[in-house]
Amino acid sequence: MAGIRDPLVEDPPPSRFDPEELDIFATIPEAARTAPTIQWESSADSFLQTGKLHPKFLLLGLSGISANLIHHLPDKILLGTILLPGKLPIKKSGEHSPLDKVANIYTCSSCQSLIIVSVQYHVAEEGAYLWTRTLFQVIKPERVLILGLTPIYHFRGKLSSDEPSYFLLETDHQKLEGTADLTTSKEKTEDVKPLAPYYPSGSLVDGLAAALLTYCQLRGLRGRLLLTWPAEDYRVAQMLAATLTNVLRLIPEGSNVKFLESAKHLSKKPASLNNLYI
Amino acid sequence: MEYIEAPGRADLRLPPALILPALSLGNVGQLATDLLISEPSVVKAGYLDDPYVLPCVGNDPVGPEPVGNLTVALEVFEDVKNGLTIVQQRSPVVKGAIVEYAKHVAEWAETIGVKEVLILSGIDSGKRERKEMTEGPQIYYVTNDTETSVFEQLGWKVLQHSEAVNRADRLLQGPTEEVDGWTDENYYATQPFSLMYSCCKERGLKVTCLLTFCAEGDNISDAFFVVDSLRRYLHQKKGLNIERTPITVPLSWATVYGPPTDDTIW
Repeated sequence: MAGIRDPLVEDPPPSRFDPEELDIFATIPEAARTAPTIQWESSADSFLQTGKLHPKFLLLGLSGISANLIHHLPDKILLGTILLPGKLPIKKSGEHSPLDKVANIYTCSSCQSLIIVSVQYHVAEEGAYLWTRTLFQVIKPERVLILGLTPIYHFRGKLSSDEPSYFLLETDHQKLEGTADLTTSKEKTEDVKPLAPYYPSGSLVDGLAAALLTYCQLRGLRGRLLLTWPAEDYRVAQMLAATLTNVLRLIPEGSNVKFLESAKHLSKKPASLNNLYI
Repeated sequence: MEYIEAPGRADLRLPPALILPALSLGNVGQLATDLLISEPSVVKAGYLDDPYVLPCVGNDPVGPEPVGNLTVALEVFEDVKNGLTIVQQRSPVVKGAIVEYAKHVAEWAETIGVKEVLILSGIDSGKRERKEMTEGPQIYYVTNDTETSVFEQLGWKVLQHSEAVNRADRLLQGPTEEVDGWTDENYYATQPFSLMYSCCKERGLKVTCLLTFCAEGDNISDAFFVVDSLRRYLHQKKGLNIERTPITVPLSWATVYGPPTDDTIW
């Protein structure tokens, strides 16, 4: 029955101490020892400056919905791929799919001050540090926006599968600017409510999303993590598309990026069918 | 491990007395540290960037209101009033990397001029001597401080397996046949507090571990006990007028053991 937890058979919550993690002679996982590599496409040559990209805005899509939105952007240009340790380059002819286990780096022909990274594979938490370092060694953004999925196992509140929810975490430097741009409305009035409240105190985000935002905080970048729930909901996709449209107005040619058009490609599923079978 | 100062903290030296939580059963060290950094006199001094601490972020866990101040896995605080440097660790260490992490912390502590380290930790209550089980909460200590009279005055007891803790010195060099099997000696030698203790000793720092036996569960009372004991030590040893200050409970503790029950099922 939903909501009733069985303490006898359930694993302990992930926040508690696990003695097996303290095998001091265990081999450190490869993900924590070996950094990923970046394979650049020939199209990246005209964008790279001394081997690095310097966008006004870096958008990272870590959730399934964000991967779909990015996938349907009409004018994106593939610049490169981030390969996990031990993985061979994937040479795929034809169109990429949001289900491919890849992490691709894009820009848009209509807005070249925007770099988009769509992460469509799982990055092990012990590998998140090196993955983040590898990314920021070659991409030097002025602003960062990370789109992630609310981690239900670390969330200390109630999440409904019927109602979309959105939460925000941001760096100190970003916080100084306020959240007026983080809205779905085009209006610029004081009555416009910011889209997302801050993530509840006591709840945590881990993994790659946390590593990315931590890097931004420690390096004094303007960074945000926008968490959405549920994982598959057309309303979330619509909201993200509208929010991104507003946020990107901050950068040159940002209004040219067609996230609203991209959202139209996503199928409309009635909310009642979301997560019908758990 | 890299230390990154918070804005406005450039060139400000941290106090030479450092408080470190060690990962342990019951998360007692970390819970106690949460109480310490909730004091109004504590400010965030900076961040520690270490490749072996798993990443995590959250909204301000201390409060009184969650206004969106970002918290990350490894943060450094200064208790301005009482002259303490406090590190809070909010996530585990990469499996197999606890020795490396302990070395990094000790190296950083030496670099910033730390002279004394106090490590807070819990110990599995199943390891407690049976004859002491009726005695209630008790602080045990391990120290390389030659002046131990203050600990006796406070009623603390020397950890009976102190020799095992000192064996951690040899574990820092790598795998050894001595650690074979799950004995009490091996348990104490391989605990994070032992490794951090050994690494700090190796750096010439004065280091004391404050330990309390606990069981996994609601360990808030254990955290209060450790903080109260620490305060009495600081008052006794350093003359700090700290022990009478009310302890502030962090905002995040409202859900520290999970979300509220789902009443909608009734």
